[in-house]
Amino acid sequence: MVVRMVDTSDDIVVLTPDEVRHAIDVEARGRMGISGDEFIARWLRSDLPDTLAAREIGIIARLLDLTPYGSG
Amino acid sequence: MPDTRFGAFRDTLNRTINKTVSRDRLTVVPHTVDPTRAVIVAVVQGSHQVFRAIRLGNGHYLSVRMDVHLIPDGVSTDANSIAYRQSEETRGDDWIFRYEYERLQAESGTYPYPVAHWHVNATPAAYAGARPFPELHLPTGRLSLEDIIRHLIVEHAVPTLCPRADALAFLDEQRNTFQHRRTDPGRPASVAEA
Repeated sequence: MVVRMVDTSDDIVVLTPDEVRHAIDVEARGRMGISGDEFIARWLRSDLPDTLAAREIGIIARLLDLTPYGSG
Repeated sequence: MPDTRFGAFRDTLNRTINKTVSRDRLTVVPHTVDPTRAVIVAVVQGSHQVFRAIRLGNGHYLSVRMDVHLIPDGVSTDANSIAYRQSEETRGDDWIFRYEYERLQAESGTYPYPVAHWHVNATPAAYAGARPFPELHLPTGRLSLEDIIRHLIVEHAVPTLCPRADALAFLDEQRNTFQHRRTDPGRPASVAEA
């Protein structure tokens, strides 16, 4: 599945929650070998390794209506 | 449409990047629910790899991700990650250093590390700690994107898009603007509230 951008301009991209979750899933599988759902569950428990991948994906997760921050 | 303050902040960052080390651009991705929040990141539209890094003239990459929110007269950063890496292949472990800023988590009182810190992807021969050295949070002050790009030009020989002296002078000018707009508690005492 290719992520669909619902509204795009040169420098603004609006993503739906499902699209953000899909993007997280793609990155988490590719970079950490876990699903997006597992990433988010562990991120909410602050139970992720202190890696660049976890940090960068965690910042994307902040686009969702969730609270915690995940990893250092 | 997202608040224009996000666009102004993005444009400032893009001006810094596009006048010095890369023609790639950062994008505003608004929060899915909260209109006062957004993430600033480089995006590949319509790709499986949605987010990407900025390509530099030496073939290396700068990966920038910022979690920001609106304040009355601009945008403030809650967290960021700025990483210098050898390749765009994010699955690899070829990052060289990364700077991170974590204001929100630090304010929660449960964050044991420095609000602003470096990770370095190396291990000194004399290091004997239990935790892998690249995972250590090496304390630093609040840095701007300009500080990091300046470091890349001066010490990593990253090529500039204009004469090197002009790029460095521009970065210094932009950095001074950043210092005067900082809204975090650690800002210099002489700087007015943004």
